[in-house]
Amino acid sequence: MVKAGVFLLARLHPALGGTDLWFWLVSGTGAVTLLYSAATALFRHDIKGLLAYSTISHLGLITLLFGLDTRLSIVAGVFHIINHAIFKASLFMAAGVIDHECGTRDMRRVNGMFKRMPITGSLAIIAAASMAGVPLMNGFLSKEMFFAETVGHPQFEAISWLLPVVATIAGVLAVAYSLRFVHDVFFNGEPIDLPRQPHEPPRWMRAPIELLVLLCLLVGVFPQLTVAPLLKVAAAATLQGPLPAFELALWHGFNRPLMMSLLALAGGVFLYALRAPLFAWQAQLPTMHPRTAFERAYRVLANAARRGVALLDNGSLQRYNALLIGFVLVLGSWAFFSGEKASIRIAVQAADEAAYLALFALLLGSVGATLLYRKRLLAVLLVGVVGLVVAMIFIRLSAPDLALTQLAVETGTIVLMLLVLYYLPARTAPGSSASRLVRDVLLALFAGGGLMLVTLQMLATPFQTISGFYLQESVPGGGGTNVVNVILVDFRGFDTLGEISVLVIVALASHALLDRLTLIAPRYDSDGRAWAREAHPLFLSMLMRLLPALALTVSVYILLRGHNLPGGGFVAGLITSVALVVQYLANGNAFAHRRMPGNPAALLALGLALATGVGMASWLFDRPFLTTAHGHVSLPLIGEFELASAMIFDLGVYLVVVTVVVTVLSGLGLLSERAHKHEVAG
Amino acid sequence: MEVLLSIAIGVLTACGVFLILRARTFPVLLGLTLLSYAVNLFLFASGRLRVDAPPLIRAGASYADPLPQALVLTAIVIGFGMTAYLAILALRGLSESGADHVDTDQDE
Repeated sequence: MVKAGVFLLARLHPALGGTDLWFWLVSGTGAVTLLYSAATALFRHDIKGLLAYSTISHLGLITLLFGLDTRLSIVAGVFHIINHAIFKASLFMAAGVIDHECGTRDMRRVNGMFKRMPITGSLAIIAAASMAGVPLMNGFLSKEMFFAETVGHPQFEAISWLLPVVATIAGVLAVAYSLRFVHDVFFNGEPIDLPRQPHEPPRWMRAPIELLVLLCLLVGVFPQLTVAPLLKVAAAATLQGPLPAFELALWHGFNRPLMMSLLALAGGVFLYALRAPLFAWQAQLPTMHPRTAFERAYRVLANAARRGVALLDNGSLQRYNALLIGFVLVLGSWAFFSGEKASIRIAVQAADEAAYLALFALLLGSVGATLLYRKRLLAVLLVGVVGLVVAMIFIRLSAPDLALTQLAVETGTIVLMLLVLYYLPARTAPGSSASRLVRDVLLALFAGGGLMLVTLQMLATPFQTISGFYLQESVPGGGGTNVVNVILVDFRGFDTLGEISVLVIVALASHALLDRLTLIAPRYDSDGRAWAREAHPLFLSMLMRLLPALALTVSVYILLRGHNLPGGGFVAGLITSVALVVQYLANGNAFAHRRMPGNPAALLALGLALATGVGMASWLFDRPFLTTAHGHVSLPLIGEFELASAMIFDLGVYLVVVTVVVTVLSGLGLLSERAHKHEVAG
Repeated sequence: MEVLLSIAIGVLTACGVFLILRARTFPVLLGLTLLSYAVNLFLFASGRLRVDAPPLIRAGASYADPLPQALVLTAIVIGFGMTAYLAILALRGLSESGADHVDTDQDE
């Protein structure tokens, strides 16, 4: 399993290697693992424990090699994977044999095995020598390469001595624990109190060890004849490129890596000689199980996190909102003030009286609604004024499509707000505390002032629009002269498809929220007056019955002309839905509900299916999704006009918009019906 | 013109932010509406302000930037969808908790 991790590291190297992050993370992790595990291995008394920690240490070595990230170090890493597999497998099998024969693996009791099983002992000694990196063994070759790579690595400039020192210390430790394995198990006096009488294992238990140890020697002595082809294939696959020049040989001359090897051998022997005081020192160290450390750290972190969350999260949405806005303001100011210093240039197009008047009306509406928000009906009307001014701004500034949409949406919004008002408690809420008021006013002023400055700055900055393409291609490519509509249904049709999907989700979510919702509709207004007895005045009711036919005609007109003149699916849908929603107001729920198309979910699905279907139809002509086609059609009476497949897409948009608006608003209206029934029943 | 529009956007934002920080659901609804006007105008303004240049292809005309317009058009409709959803959420909250406060914390 651990080797699988190293394998993954090798495979990911071509994708992730070659960066500073890779170098420091991977080689750092490798170096720490290498040293820590080698030191731990020395102090284990269980044979398998020693071998296991040594494996971790060797994997750290391989990781370090991958981290060093010179091309040759990767080759060395792959080579060491092969060598380590060979000698460590034989050592683990030898440990298994000893365990089988002695009934224990404790090195304080298993001693003097060489006399009792000389063949297994010899094999294990050779394998352990390979683990220690003694010449003539395969482990020596890759360890030499490792040492060579640590010397003069380009990444360490001032501290280039550090890496060879780490490598040599690791080598010393490896020699020491290998020596311990050999000396403690096979020599070091007589066994102590073994459960069994050990002798040589059966022939076939030893055979795999013999094979592997033979490999250790063959690779170690004749690397070019044995392992070279395999190594070349494996290293080339890891590097995903040409191999660096390298030579597998026993003797590279008397160079630095060899000196490091000799130093490691001598140091390892010396360290092992000091084992008695070392073990005594280790035994008196306070034992701290890693799990305890982990759990303690985990608890500290979890507590800190809990305190941090409690600081921010007290369950108040108001507070979240204020924090969110405050944070956005901090980030925005940081970006605004850390950017290039530029004095605010003001672009000026002459403003006429109408513009001043519009601004005045807008200020009146928005500030009025803000100050008088407790007088709810008045506030709704004032917000309506603002919406109308916004629509006028759109007309004035060359955006007729936006103006139409805004007007239609404004009507829907007012109906929506009135419906909501009908159910909300009539009593006036007491005012906010002074401190909260100050906080909110500050946040509001800061936000408004900031956005005003940003807008000013943006409007004064010269810019290059990317819309040239759309303006150029609208007629020849999209078959429509209304560029905004062509963008919506053709160039950026995929976006629009996503947007109507959002609307469908709104309708479904609203439907789910309204399901079995009961609210007590008030019988009286806030001053205790009963509602007008004549809920559906005759004039309104009769006039409004004419409206849907008229509105549908207008909608079809707006829908069809949308490709060339202001209009389109969104606007047409809003006009139709407003006409339908008005029926609820004018003629009552029962009347209107009977006349509405049966199944809104089916209509929503139909709308989405039309939009998606016309998009997929382009696949039939080997074109990408949502490619449109257009052409001229001439019909008697109507004359010649342009038809584009995008119009079907727009029809889908239309259906979705109508159904969403009608579902949401009529759903709210029908609540009262239910509420009254509820009241009567209750 | 630019200054006036910037002031309009600033005031709409300030009013919107103040209202969405109120404790009752209805002013939050109003505030969200005002804030979406501000955002729509801001996005629209990123195409710069042009008078008498609707993006309808005709001979020899110059055009306002159509791309922000297309983006804002869908934003208006989606904004309505969001306001409607919020309104229904407020009513559901009223029915579940019996109050139109945005929080369980009843501090005004």
